[in-house]
Amino acid sequence: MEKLRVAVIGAGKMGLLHAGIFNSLENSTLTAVSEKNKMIIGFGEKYLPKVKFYEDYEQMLDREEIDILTITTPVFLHYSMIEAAIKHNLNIFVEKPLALNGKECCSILSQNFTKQSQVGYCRRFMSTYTLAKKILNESFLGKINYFDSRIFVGMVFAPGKGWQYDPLKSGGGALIDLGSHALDMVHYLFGEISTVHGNAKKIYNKDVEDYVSITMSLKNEIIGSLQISWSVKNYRMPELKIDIYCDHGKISVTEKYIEIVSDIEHDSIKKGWNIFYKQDITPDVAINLAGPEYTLEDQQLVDAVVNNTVPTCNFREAAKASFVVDSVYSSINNNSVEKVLYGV
Amino acid sequence: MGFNMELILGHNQFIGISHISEEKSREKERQFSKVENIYRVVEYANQLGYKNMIIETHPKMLEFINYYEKNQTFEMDFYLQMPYAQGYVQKINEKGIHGFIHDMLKQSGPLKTGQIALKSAYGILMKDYSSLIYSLISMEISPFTKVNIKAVLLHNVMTDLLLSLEANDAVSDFISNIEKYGLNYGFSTLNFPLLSNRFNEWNISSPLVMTPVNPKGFDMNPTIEMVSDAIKKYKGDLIAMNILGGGAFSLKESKKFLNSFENIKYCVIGASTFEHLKENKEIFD
Repeated sequence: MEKLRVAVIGAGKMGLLHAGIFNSLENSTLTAVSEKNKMIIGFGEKYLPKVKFYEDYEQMLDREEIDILTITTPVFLHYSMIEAAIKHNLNIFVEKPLALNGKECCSILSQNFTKQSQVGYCRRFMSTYTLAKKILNESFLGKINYFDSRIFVGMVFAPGKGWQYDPLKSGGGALIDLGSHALDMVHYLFGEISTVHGNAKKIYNKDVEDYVSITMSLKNEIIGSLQISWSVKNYRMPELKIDIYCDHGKISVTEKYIEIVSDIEHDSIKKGWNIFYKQDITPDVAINLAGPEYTLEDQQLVDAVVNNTVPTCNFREAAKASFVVDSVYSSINNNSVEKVLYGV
Repeated sequence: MGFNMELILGHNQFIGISHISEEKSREKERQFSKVENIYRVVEYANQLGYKNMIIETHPKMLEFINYYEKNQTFEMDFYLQMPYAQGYVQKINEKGIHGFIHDMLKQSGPLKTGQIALKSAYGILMKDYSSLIYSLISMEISPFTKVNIKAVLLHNVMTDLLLSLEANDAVSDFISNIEKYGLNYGFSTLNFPLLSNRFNEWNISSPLVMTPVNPKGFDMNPTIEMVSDAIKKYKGDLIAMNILGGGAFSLKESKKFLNSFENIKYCVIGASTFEHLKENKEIFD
């Protein structure tokens, strides 16, 4: 078959990563990039002679034959770019979060869009979390009662200068930037959230929050909590740790390992303590750039386009995290328990 | 070991990287927050017979190299891995890409000599991408060249990105810039079969490559079988890394697996304690 032609808007760190992956998969190839920074375009034109570079993404969409558009720009640009891509009838990959807020997500979901979509909540493709999901689905640990979770990274200890620290461009601070990953994981593992109560603190930045604490109850009666911060010392890499308490055992899961304490023996899970490192359970990928999860999410989108299947983190699924983020911001602002409306 | 495999001391533990868990990373960061503690472990390793060490252009490793040079109670050879990509990302986040390059040129580029007016030189250099790359490489490796560098390895993140994007001329620019320093070059990769095939296209004859080799096939892409085949066919020197999966695999199992490759000359072992260094050395000797 002809390879799917992939174009990228925004050649920053994530844009280059996805560009490289799509260019290396069996059924896709990188054909065009649009980027505002002239120096990056200069580098691109010098070193990637096969790829067409544009400063204006609309010109790229008008002129290029594209099968998949990858959007890796600051969050405030996602909405208009997704709209343009839908008008051009393209399959879309967009980095997380889907858009600035629930309103933009509603507008995206209400469009007549018949192509495939994938949003970059990459933890859905990490082997430790997928194993946690598998174990929960098999139900041998019984009912899930409670979880406590935290996502931390040591990144912000002074006022930041980039778009991430301007809420009009980022949608907010640690909650939307980092916390959206954890909220997506809550949906992936447990299901939809009924109510949230959040508190937040701005320490290093005057416009966006650095620390957030959320308690929540889910529609299926699970209760849980989530702590979020990008200002915790000595977290070199972001870490999302979730402890899940079930009737017959407990699961602790991070990016690097999953530990299961089970009262029951079931397949490869022994009664008692079990630990699996990502080194033991990570699947092979065609190419590994910054972790197999990025290849797996891109591969799944390419496969979905070829086979007409639906990617697991499509717009509808990924929008859920954005709706919850909105509710948490309302809760913080009103000091209230808020119902999550999921766009209704 | 039945044939000669040289152990290279790894450095991840010294800069707080653990493949096992972030708790472990923090523990290492605490343990090695003082450069003296790194020095002591490296010194002990050297006494045990580790004569090579791999480092990267990370601020912590620069601190170590400066300390090593000042005290020098032992002799070690180094493999230097670059670029330290996370550092770039942080600086670009802080200053923007132009601010970052401006600072860098002031520090290490031709602007440092003051021969040309800052503004015009900046304008010219911003369009001369080969010179920009040379300046970036200079900035990174110059502070380390006072010790004996056996080879400069392009970090797997960069090798694999250039490989995936087919940025062939960028690879040639890396090589020629390292050669300008009179140093040997090499590549680190998580995608060895793809890379070794590409060397023909790049007209490079079998350079030094560092790549993961372990019995579970972790980070051996696309499959453990394809990587194993490609390794067996490779004519150049190879350094095996991730052999213990950061501690997830047993030393004996890994050693047995490594033994099945006759052409792997070196392997990287990271250890943070005297006991582990000794145990590793004994099992591998």
